[in-house]
Amino acid sequence: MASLTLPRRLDPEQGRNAPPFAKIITSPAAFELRNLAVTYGAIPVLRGIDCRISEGAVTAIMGPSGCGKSTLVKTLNRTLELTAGIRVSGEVKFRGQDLYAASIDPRSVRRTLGIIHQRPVPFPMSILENVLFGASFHGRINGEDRIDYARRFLERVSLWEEVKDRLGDRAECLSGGQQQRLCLARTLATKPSALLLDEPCSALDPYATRHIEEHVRDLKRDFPVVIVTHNVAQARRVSDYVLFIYEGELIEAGPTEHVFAAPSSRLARDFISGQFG
Amino acid sequence: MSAWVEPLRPSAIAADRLYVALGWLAGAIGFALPLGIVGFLVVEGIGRISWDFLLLPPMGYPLGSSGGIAPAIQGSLALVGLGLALALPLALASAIGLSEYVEPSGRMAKALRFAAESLAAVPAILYGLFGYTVFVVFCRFEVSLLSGALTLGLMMLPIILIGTHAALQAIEFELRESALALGVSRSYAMRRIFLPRALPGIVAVTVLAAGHAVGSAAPVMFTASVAYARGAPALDAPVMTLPTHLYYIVSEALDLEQAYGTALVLVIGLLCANAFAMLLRRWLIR
Repeated sequence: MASLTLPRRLDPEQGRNAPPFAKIITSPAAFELRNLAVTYGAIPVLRGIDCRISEGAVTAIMGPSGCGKSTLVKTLNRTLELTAGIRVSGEVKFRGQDLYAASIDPRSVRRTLGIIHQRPVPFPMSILENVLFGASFHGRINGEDRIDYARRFLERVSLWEEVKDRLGDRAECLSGGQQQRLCLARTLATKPSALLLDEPCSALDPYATRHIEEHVRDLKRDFPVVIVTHNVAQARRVSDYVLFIYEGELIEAGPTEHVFAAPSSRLARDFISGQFG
Repeated sequence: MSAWVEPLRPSAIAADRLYVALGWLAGAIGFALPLGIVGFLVVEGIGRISWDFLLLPPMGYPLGSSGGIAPAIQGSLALVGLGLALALPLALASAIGLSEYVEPSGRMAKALRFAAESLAAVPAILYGLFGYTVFVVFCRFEVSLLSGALTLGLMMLPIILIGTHAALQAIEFELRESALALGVSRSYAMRRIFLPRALPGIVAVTVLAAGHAVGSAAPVMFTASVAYARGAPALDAPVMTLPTHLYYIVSEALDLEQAYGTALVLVIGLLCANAFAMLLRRWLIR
């Protein structure tokens, strides 16, 4: 325990001399972020983010509302650029490849790194068409029977039994929890290499939340999962690593149990103990 | 017994009552006006409505004092149908381009929007004069169905463009984001999600534009219409239209009942088109 060096960045001045997180977490990195900064118009949203996100694990990004968690996760698959007025600088690498290189098509980044948003957004079409929407664009179905293909992913999110007799119904008819699992199936059907979840349970009831959390733990066997949450308990339940963000800066990062047992910064300690957030 | 629940101030109650009364008055006027117009036309014109009136050409001397308005109905439908066939694809393409491919806060977008809005505000008679100068004289299309349809198309274009653009802009950011986050192209998302989502709005504005066009005499007066035509409408021949026919009958003071009949057919046609659009809209939204 004592030999483990936790990152310390109590104040920005001290942060400059602290070792980069890259050197601390030793498991292979899926994402490497170097000096990532985001501005919205003239307002800085994220500043000087340096970190690694591990393979085959769930990494939770936590912090109070408005701290830049969602912004951070959206920079990982370049969906942030869909918002007008955003400027991203610094470096984001996925498995060694610079995602912001000029030769990279942002659309292929988005396909490779699937994202689930806060509120489930069913597309205005049938349940089956929803699952196949991205997959058929990317030519993933490859002559396989459309229903069989969709079934694999609906089973993966335990939705198949609930919808198998009404695949032609409009997706808006499903409940909130079912819609969020449908969105998960829709993203998985494009066969991504990593999964990003932006507060996927914030619009769901506790039962549906538990359902999604079970899937999150299950999914990390196949790829790295990044989950944004302002819910401390959820971060503790589902994640292996946490990144704690406060006012656009990375305050603390490390294995979940260590950060929760012995947060090195006062901010993180206060946040974890529920003093603010 | 002390009153824990204090009554509101009488002045606040009176002001609220006045507000409600004014609201009802405004609503009643808005309802009574179209009802009054249609009612008046029904009372004055229903006597003339018959199969003969709908299916026969104008007859009698002076022409139009008896007989029917069949060629005018045909001509109006042909003009608007052809005009829509020209305007709709162009308006949809412009609206999609403006909404998806032009930097929304940039100069280009502002200039395009301003141009479309100005175009929609141009008076109908100016479209008529422009159509006459360009299509009839310069392009040598003569006074014909083609010239009139082009002119009406120009008149409908900005209305459909602005309405379609508004319908596309009304699509929630979350839907856009979720669709594009799957890494699909904008054109695929447009075809599969954004256009279907905007379709009810597009239908509504298209019917509005078509109704506006079918009832306008000014744009077709110099470009397409004549006092008398018969047979099926042809591209290179002039046609009769309902509004210009109405104008002729009234200005020649031939037979006012014939005029009311014509007006009634025009208004009922527009009502049917609007009702159909509403049903289609409801069916599309589901």
